[in-house]
Formats: sequence, structure tokens, C-alpha cells
Amino acid sequence: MNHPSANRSRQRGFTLIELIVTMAILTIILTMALQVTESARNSIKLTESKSSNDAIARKTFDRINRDLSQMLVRKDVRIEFKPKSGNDEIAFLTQSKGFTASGDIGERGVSLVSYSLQHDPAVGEKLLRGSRGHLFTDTPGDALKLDADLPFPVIAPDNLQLLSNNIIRFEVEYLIQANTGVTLEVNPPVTSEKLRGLVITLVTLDDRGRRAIKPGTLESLAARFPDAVIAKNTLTTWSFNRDAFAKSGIPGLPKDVLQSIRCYQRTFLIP
Amino acid sequence: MKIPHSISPSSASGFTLVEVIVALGIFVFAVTVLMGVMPFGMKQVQTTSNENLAMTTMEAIRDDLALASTAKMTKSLRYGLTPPTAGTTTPVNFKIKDNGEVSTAGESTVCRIIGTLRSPPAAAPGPLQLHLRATWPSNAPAGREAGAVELVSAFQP
Repeated sequence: MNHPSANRSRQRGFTLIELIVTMAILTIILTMALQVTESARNSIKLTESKSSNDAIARKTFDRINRDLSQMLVRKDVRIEFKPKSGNDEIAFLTQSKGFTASGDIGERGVSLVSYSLQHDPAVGEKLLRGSRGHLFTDTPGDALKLDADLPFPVIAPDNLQLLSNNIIRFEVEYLIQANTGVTLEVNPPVTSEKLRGLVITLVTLDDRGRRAIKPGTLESLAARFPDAVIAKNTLTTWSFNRDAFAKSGIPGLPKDVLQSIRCYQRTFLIP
Repeated sequence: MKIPHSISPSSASGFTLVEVIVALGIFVFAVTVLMGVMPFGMKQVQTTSNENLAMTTMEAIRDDLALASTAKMTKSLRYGLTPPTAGTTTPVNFKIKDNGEVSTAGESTVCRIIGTLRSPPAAAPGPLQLHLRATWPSNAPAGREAGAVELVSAFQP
């Protein structure tokens, strides 16, 4: 169909001015939309890393809680909590059945449970849970005899289980019954008799952070969280340090990665 | 200028400014709807995260009070609360920061925890009753909070 009589303005499309106006409006709208999306993405990332870190901490704490709530409390049973510079190690006897494959040992009524954070140069930090059946007549090096000078019980690699790859600091403090009440101490008691609870403080790093940070850098990062000091809350100190470097940044590390590091603390009361 | 016959009139006429603006309007509307959905998802995540923080902190307060009461301490270790004597009530009122700590210097906070630890009168001994309620945002007036979780617990002194 042909309309020779159609008016010119309907046939000429738009003028350059109209096009420019349209494009300008579109650009303004897109820029605004982009800014909103950008800030939304950042805040989603932040909340995501917060919730993944929350989950890591909760999972670990719940696992430790299950073992601690079954702890064998007797004054003739030594507990082995090892305060060290850097990450602490703990080992104690629990009332749960333990199984040992090595030698002639099978099932036992009590088991020795340990938690330790080990540094693996290739992977980074690994939180390991050890568990094996325990017999009170075991060789002195292995048994929990009432001698604080004995070495930390040896737990064979077979009895170690990887709990988490996302924990870079593990610090333990002890609630100990004193004459005037309970005090929070950095050094453990020899037996579980006077122990009222443990306070465990963790630094977590979610998977996104782990991918971005090399194991070597991880070590220097962990050093920013100092050992527990008496009469000072470890979580307060650590959170303060964490917030400080998350704000100012660390050379060589992207700033948003620092957001995936978080500190947690939980108190475990021994029943 | 003569328009060639091979071009149909509809493709030759182009859009008017009005048409373009209408199209743009629809586009903006669609974008706005999409943007409107996004905060909803984020709000869900935020709520979960707040609930988690509130619950963890209330559990910590509960354990702190339980320890102080059973060990007959005058002040609890972490939160500095005084366990109630028979027939009295210890109030709890904290503003909690993003990392689970109590705000002392007016820093920005996530939630507020209000509650009581009630001790039964000496004439009718029984367990201590703890009631804690966490609400957020922390500065919201009563009844205008965005969310809340509660913790109820009892323990023998």
C-alpha cells in the first residue's frame, strides 16, 4: 500500500535532537540503575560472607559442644589443654565409645578426643579432630596420667578427621573454680575437677577468602590475632584488630576479601 | 525527496517521540519492579543474619548468668551482670554490635536485648527464670521493630 499523501513528519523517523534526548535519558537511567546494582551487589557479598562465616563458626562450635558435654569429669583424670603461642590444642576424655584400629584394640568405653589447628604449607590451616578409644593402662606417653609435664597425647593420623578448612585461629581460655567464684584463666587446670567451662575464640575465613589469600599470607594474617591475655576479652581484642584492618586494608590483599574474615566466641559450660 | 516504492510506509515512518517515551516508560517500570524485588531478597538474608546474631548472643548471656548463679558469683564474667538474690530480679538491657559484643561507647549496633532473670522468693524456692528478647533495629521504639527473637530458660542456682 502506498500513501503518497501521508504527511512528512510521519515518514521522516526522528530527528537527531530527539534521538539525543532519548539516549541521554536512557543513559541517566542506566547509570542510576547500575549504581544501585553495584551497591546492592556489594551489600549482598558482605551479608553472604557474614552468613557463610556464621555457619562455619556454628558448625565448629556445635561439634566441640557435643564432645565437651560428654567430657569425663573426675579428679584422677588429667585433661590436656595446651596453651601455646599461636593456636591452642585441647584433648580430653569423653564418655562416648571409641574405636581403635591399630594393634589388638577394638571398642572401648571411653575415648580421647582432641582438637588442634595445624598449618599445612600447601593448603593453609586445618582444624583437626582426633578421636580414639582409650584404656587407662595405655603406655604413659599416650595415657592421660596426672602429670602435667607429660607430652601432649599422640594421636595417629588415622584417628584424625578434618573438621574445617575455614578456621585460621583457635584460642582457648578456661573457666576455673576458685575460692571466690569462677575466674577466666589463660592456663588450664591439671584435672577436669575444677574446670567449669571453656571459652573458645575463633577466626574464620570463608571459601571466597580462602581462594583469594595464599597460605603464606594466611600465616601473617593469623598473627594479627594475638594470644589470649588475662583480664582482657579475646573477642574484643580480635574484633578491634579485624575491624581496623578491614577498614584500612592490608597491602597486597583486595579490600573486599578482608570482609570474609570474622571472629567468634562461645562459652561452653561443663555439666 | 521522493520515497522509493519498495519501502513500506510503516517502516519508513519510524517512531514518534511519544512512542519512544512510552517504550522508555515501560522499560523504566520493568527495571523498577526488578529493583523492588532485590531488597526483598536482601531483607531475608539480613533477617536471618540478625536472628543468628541475636540467638548466639542470648545463649552467651544465658550461659554467663547460669555460671554466675551456680558458682555464687557477685558479678558474671563476660557481661558483668549480678545474679538476683531470692525474690529479686536482674534486668538485662544491652545493645549488641555486629560482632556480638555489647556496645559501650555508642557504636553502631544491630539489635537490642532486653530481659529479666527472676529469682523466686525464699519462701517458695525454685529455679531461676530467664527471659530474653532481642529486637532489631536496635533504636526502634517499642512496637515498631522489624523483627524479634526470644529465649526462655530456667536453671537451678
